[in-house]
Amino acid sequence: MKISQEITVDHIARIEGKAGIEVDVSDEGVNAKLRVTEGPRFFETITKNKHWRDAVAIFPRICSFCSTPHKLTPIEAVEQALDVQPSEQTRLLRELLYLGNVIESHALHLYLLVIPDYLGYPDAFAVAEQQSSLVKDGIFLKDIGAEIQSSLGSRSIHPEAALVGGFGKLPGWNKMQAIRDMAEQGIATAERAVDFFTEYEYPSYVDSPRRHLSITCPDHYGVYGTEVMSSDDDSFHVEDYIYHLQEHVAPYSFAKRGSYKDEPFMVGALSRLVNNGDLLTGRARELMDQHSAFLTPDNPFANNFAQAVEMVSFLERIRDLIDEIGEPEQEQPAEPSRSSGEGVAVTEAPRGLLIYSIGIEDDRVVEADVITPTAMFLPMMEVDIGDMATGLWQNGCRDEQTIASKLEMVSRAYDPCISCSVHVTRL
Amino acid sequence: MQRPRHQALVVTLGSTLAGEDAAGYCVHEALRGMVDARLVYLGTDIFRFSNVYLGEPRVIVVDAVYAQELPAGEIIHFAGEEVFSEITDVATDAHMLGVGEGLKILEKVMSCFPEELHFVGVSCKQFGHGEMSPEVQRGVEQAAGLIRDILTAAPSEP
Repeated sequence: MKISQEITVDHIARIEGKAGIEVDVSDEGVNAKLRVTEGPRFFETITKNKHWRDAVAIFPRICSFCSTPHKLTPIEAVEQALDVQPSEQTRLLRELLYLGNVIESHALHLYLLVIPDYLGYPDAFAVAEQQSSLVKDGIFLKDIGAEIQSSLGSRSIHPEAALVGGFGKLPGWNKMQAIRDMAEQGIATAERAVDFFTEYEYPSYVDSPRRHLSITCPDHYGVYGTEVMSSDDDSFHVEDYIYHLQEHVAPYSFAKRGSYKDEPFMVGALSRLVNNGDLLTGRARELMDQHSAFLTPDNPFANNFAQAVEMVSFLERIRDLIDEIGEPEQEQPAEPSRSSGEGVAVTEAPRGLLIYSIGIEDDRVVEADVITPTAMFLPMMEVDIGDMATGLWQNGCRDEQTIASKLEMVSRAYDPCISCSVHVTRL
Repeated sequence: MQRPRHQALVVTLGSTLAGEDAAGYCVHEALRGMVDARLVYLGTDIFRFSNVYLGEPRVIVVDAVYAQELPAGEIIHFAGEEVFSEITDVATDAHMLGVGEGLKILEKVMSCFPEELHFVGVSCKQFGHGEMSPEVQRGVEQAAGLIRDILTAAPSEP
């Protein structure tokens, strides 16, 4: 007689978007499925035949949390397609804006969604009741990111001030100084997050070798680049992504699913640190050296630690960027030098690689392809969910609630953004 | 914390891209220049309240609400403890961190929290895309009127 157990989580709580888990585990093996139930929204289709200006305003609507990466990445792709040369100030301000989004996203994820798991509380409210200073830290860090996006992007979501070629209205020095002060103060706050995540051991059931993909940072640890590198020492130019990254559709999921060299892989903060950690500087470097044992490439729970280290690193970078930019000069956005072309851009969204490929003819978008980080790592996440279920089962755990909550923890460690992942499924 | 210039702050919430969820923003526009209070539109993020709050003793939070039993455009008003006891939304995912849960968390973590807190909600039915129904448009006007009344009333007893 086969003894097996079906575990179903209809809705994974405390992630961004709607997805569920189905696991059938027995002594003979495990079958794990991550069902993405959020409906597809066809952004690549609705931007077709639109003027590129309209298209870069539409793409960020893929997701409110990730609207800044979904604004700045297509801007880069359009600029390549139309040979637009933005100023150095624009590049620095874009990086600042982008890092604001990463800080806000990491803070929300770690403090409001993940930390309740670690402390054994049902939600962030329970944490706030018992350990209010923790949640206070999280809200402060999240607010730094929101403030940067409001100031540079004109609002905290769907930043309209970021334009192809430059920026709309820029903040004055007082605002920049205020952000700098917040970032400076935030560094110590983020250090406490690193300390928090070094107090816990990772569950070993999900230890398994995997490849990590990220951009190759050209000079400093950051979010912009043109090369994609793999932890197996391979790399490719982002223009060749189509030859290296495959996408598949599963009958039980509205999201596309990525593979690299025909295998699942990981992207995100952990992958960035695995591949580019040697570029960290300052306090982030010291923390990384001090806690290097927590950067375990084979365990997805290390992603939370990596996000905490990134908050320190990016807050230091924000401070330094503002010192470098000074008071921003209001510049005229650079203009395109042609009306047709193709451009491919890759950036590091909070959850990992984000690729936009855009083809333009006579100022109209004729082709668009968007690959999001969550779509890339979903198959790896499914493997880890299966491994967790197997590990618990083999160690005698039969309690459905316990297994279900551990499976949810695995998925939350990845910080999936389901809304982003369902933008493109072609049915 | 800076000293507030006003005795009251009106915080409006909602997405202008999600159908009738724009009700909070529309109330904000309806009140602009019409009331002796600071007006702040926070998009969909109640947690930003902790950063924009300057210590005003009276705070009114305005948002679209969904309640099956309420007709479109109906106004609800909770004050003081009612705000915490009557708004029982619980987040099912990060996109849905609600105003009730957010305020409960903020009350626990903010070093200074308003003495007098009101919540004004406009009952909405359609949070996807499309235009606001005439009922919700009328609800927005009524909510603006109610907020003007709250702002001119004497402060409630602590």
